[in-house]
Amino acid sequence: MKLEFQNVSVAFGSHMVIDRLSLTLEFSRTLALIGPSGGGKSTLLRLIAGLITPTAGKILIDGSPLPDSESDLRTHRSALGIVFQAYNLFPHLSALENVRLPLTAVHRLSLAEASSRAMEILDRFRLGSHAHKKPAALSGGQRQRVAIARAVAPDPGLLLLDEPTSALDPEMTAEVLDLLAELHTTGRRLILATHEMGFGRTIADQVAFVANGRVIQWGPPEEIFSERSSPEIQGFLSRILRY
Amino acid sequence: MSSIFFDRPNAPAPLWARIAVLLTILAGFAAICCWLLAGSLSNWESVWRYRQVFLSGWLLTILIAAVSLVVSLVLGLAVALARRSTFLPLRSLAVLYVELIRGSPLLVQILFFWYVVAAQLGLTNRLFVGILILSAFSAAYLAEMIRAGIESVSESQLESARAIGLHPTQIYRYVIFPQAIRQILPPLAGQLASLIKDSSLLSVIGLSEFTLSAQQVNSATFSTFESFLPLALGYLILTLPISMFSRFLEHRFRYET
Ligand SMILES: Nc1ncnc2c1ncn2[C@@H]1O[C@H](COP(=O)(O)OP(=O)(O)OP(=O)(O)O)[C@@H](O)[C@H]1O
Ligand SMILES: [Mg+2]
Repeated sequence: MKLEFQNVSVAFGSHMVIDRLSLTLEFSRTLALIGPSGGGKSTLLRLIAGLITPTAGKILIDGSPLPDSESDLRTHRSALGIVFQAYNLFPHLSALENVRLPLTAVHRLSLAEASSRAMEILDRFRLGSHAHKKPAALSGGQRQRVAIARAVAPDPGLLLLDEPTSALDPEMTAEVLDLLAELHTTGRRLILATHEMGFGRTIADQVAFVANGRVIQWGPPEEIFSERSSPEIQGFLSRILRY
Repeated sequence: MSSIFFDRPNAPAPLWARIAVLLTILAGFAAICCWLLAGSLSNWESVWRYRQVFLSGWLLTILIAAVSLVVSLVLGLAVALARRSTFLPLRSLAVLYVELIRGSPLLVQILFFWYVVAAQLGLTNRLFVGILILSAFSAAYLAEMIRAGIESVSESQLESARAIGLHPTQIYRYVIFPQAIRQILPPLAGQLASLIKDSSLLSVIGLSEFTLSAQQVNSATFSTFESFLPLALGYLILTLPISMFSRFLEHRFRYET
């Protein structure tokens, strides 16, 4: 899979977050974005997801440019699976209804088809017995797994995950990472922003280090996590690995 | 010992103390009423002859409030959406509407619309115009409640909805409204109680709702207390259950997620 950024800039008001980024990233199955907080990982994911549009420049995915119009971007988004940092389940809907909503409303499945597909996925994620609970009645790890189930249910070609474990305690984190590893082995393509260096290293075939709105360096994990990487990465890794 | 009359979260007052307090206050209230009414309670019979007038006025008040609630809900929703519109002229119009209505007394609006606007337009049906005025009045307040409800839905929920590919109308339908309704329902019930009370002002344009009926009975029988006591009770019978229901809804939605 090939991601191309051509002179991409993103500004929030007068604050330039990404300044003329030009870059081509290639990965076969999993790309991990790592880097310091505020570096721009979420912003890059939102750009790829079509949730924000660049102030200037162009983004191409496998050679085809992302559309400009909101309705075409919507089509683009519906073909992806997107999971955010915090749990973004709809609190008024049960787990099953959360997973079913995009299937019926966006992908036009009948209620019966959508229900059985949603139930099948929840069972596969070992959430079947929680299908009728509202998010408030689920644990953090369960919620995040439901969120992943919702993103995976329409069978997207690419899954975007923004720090899917940052709000979880270690045990729940393991629960969610297991699930992602499983998705990885079944061959699904993933781009994920993560602070879990060990995890990123094991499942990613490419790692990009993002800081100050730029991709400082990218390459296979053996390279990024070695002494051959740039001093910024060395500094970052030694800071986070100190404790 | 006197601590039984204090109701604290960690030490709630016992039930019998609550009942005792309630009964004492009611008894005191009744005593004051009796004292006020003493000597003037002789004329119940002549008022009783006009019970039909009371009843039809009371029913008309319910009708006015109920229809106004429905109309103002539709109008209030439209104004709330207009206030959130990105189209500037529409948004400004909605802001102007809300501020004008909320900035002037209902009585003034009634007089202005009936004697100026309705007269100009040749509208002579008091009931129709009355409901229209009351709905327009209530819609401004409802618009603000609805807007607050809509804005209570967090940014991350909206992004989540966009992320799964919902289009804007679907976002309102599946994500915003179901969550906003919890915010809106309790004050909405309160608004119905306000509508019932506010409709009494429509008596000034000669609409024979409950208040005007009582005034008519009063001038026909010259028995002030006997005419206005049922009036006060008639409103309370309607508004007390509604405000209790509103409080119940608030309580329920606060603890249920
Ligand atoms: N909506 C916004 N308005 C203004 N500035 C923003 C907005 N979103 C992000 N930024 C800024 O953009 C920069 C990059 O933020 P981003 O969220 O992409 O970082 P991140 O790498 O995901 O950080 P973290 O690891 O903390 O999630 C930050 O300086 C942030 O303050
Ligand atoms: Mg982030």
